[in-house]
Amino acid sequence: MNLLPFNFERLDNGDYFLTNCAGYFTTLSKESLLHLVDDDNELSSEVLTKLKQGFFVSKEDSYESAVGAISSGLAKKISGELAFNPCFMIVPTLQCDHSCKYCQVSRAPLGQSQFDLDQQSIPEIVDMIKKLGSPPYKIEIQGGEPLVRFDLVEQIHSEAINKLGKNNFEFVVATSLSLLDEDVLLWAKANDNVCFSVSLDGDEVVHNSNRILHSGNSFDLAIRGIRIINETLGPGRVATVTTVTKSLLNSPQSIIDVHLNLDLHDMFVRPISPYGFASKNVKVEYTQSDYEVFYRTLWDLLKSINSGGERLVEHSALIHATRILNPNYSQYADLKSPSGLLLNCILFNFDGKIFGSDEARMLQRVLPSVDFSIGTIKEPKMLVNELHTRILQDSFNLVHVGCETCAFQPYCGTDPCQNISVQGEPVGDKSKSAYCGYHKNMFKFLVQEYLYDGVTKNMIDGWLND
Amino acid sequence: MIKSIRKDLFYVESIQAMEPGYAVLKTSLPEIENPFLRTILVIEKALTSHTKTKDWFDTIVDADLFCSITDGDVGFINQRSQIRTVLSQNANHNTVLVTEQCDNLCKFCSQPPKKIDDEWLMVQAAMAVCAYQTDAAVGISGGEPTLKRQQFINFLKTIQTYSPQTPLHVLTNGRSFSDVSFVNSVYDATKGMNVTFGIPIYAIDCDVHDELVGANGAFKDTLKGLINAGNTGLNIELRVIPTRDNLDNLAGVIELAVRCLSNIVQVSVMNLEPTGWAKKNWSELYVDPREYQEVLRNALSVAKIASLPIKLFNYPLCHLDEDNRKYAVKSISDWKNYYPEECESCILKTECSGYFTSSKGKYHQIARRLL
Repeated sequence: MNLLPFNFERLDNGDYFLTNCAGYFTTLSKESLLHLVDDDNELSSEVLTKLKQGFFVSKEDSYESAVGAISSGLAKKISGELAFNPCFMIVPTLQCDHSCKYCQVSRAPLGQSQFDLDQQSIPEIVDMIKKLGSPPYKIEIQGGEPLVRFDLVEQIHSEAINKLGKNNFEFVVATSLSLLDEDVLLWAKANDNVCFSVSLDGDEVVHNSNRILHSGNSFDLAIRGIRIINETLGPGRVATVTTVTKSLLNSPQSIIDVHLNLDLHDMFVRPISPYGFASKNVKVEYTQSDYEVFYRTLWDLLKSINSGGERLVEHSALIHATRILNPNYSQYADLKSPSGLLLNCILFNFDGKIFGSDEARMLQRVLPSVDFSIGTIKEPKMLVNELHTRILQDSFNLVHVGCETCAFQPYCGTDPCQNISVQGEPVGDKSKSAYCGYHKNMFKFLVQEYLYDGVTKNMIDGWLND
Repeated sequence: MIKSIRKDLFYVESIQAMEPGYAVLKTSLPEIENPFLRTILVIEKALTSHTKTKDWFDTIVDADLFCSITDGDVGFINQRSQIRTVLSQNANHNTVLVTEQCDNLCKFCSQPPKKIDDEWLMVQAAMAVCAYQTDAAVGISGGEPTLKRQQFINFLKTIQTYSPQTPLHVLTNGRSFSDVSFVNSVYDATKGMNVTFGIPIYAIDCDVHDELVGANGAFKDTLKGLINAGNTGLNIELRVIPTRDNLDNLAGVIELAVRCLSNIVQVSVMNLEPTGWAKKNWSELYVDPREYQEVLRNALSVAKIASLPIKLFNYPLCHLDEDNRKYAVKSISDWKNYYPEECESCILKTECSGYFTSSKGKYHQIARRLL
């Protein structure tokens, strides 16, 4: 037998998780792993069949075929990840009625109209979307609080209908819903490609301690908005994002309750962003292992809910599981290699500048001396700014120190903007990377659960087959 | 002989004198010569009004044949005074045979190869496709169509020139595609057309594949061929037949398609057809589908998660678990398809593939209660 290259990771139960560059995975007992490396004659035929089918070993005479297969698999994976399939983000204003404590620098107080997008540039933005993308286009409206300038949001949408065709694009508005009124609802009712994405950080106490709204109760307004959307627009028109802060750590049940009480069956739970600018104002909230404990408890709750017949999907887990099980999945910009910068996102900022990701525009505000933009709406220079080519070139985790031997490398990604923000350069020391810590833990946790726990397997398979 | 849904072979004494090969079959008086094939007027009864009026077509009188064809169908005359309707508007699948030679000797071959010089077959087949001028898919089968590479390229180019609107489905073992320059020639010769190559791979273990296809080195060629063809942009339908020898490789084959191969437009899992050599090897090869529903379920799930279209062919629905049935297609060509008596009262009959007419006697697996 010939051994082919693989990475491995010890799991909590003592077994080893093996992967190769084509994304095949399998598990072995420690004993089998040692046999595989030292003397494969000792392996049982069952284990050997499993290893051969994943191209971890091959017979002498089919070695060339095996190398061909995994090379082709690697090439397929990389060319999929290199596909240019951007989500188009537009920031109509930085004005915001909230002053959240972890806000990622992307806000300005109400009334400061110098932080608004020039209305004249909307047709140019939509032209550019048409030129760069292909249907179905994904358009996401970010802020600030975009509903402060609902007039601009409406105008972007109608321009998109005219130029892209009303059935050819998705339109997501990221909002706190604090300004949801009759006009916005009527507009959304008349346009069924409009969806809302709302932060929901916990119960009233938790949510309001993060989401500070001087003019009212942020939590009340968010859940009132979600209810109205569900009632008047029907299901599937509003999605939530939950950023886990220290105050939520001890009560995972509360975030589940909030969702189920609102008849929401999808949640997206993630740790607080470790960006320099997000944590600057907040003392280090919690450690990776605090989050792990929280997530394990949340997971057990999800299992009992889902196995009890009620559907509740946690999308962070689903994204990680999909990365492992579906080699063609490269749509999630934050978890791919090379990075999703530019390839998965084009952001049109309020000031007319264009960026390759939401994080890049935030970096720009904290590091004004470096030009992170890809030009302006008037003068785009997609291929001119060498910075992006360099960042992208350096974002293949296959060759990153620390990633190249990691068993989760074929499924994981890179976040150069986070590395620049925290470590001052795009590759980063993985032993200090919060990105690495979080994603590696998620993968390992899910692999153990999926491969060794029948309830988890049924739950995830159910989500995947929806 | 069990009666199939559509009869396709007719004995007509008067064609004894005719040259074997393809011909356009007309039921109405032909007005112009077909540029690709000779024309035969088929009439129901010998009537004076239908007597031969021009010397460029023959006339045959046969009521049975007349009732079974549509004006303009293409038939094939053999040396035994038989005429087979090959391209017919009445058929659910149309396939032309382009050679009877092959470099594999599959244990379940439904069309066992012959070592004869049959170059004329491919030339005639190209003429048949061009004469028929259809925009419905035509199957190209053998033998191994790509065995004589230059001839196959000529075949494709002829159709590309004269009938580019005809989608082709070519059944090949893919071994020739291990040569990249041949793949590029095929790519050029099919540009502007809708062509899919049905390529079977039976295992990840090269010995298992080579043993099933009766050729050493076949796995190596076919795998390389699949990689080359997919990466070049040829559309591939990946085919696999579960047998006792490769059942434990089924999930591996599907995962290969998902992780390593490109441009796979469909994976087809096909139940063994009791025809040709499959008959003599039946007891060695055939596994009752009830024994491998879980294997199928896993394989289907691997494909589903990766959004790879996968279909089950030639499985009577009552041989599948309920959750696997949604992947089954009504797949058996009408000329070799039938439903035994016990299917008459089945509520799923209209959706079911039924049986091969050849699945009689010891090859027949009885219809079961739907559970």
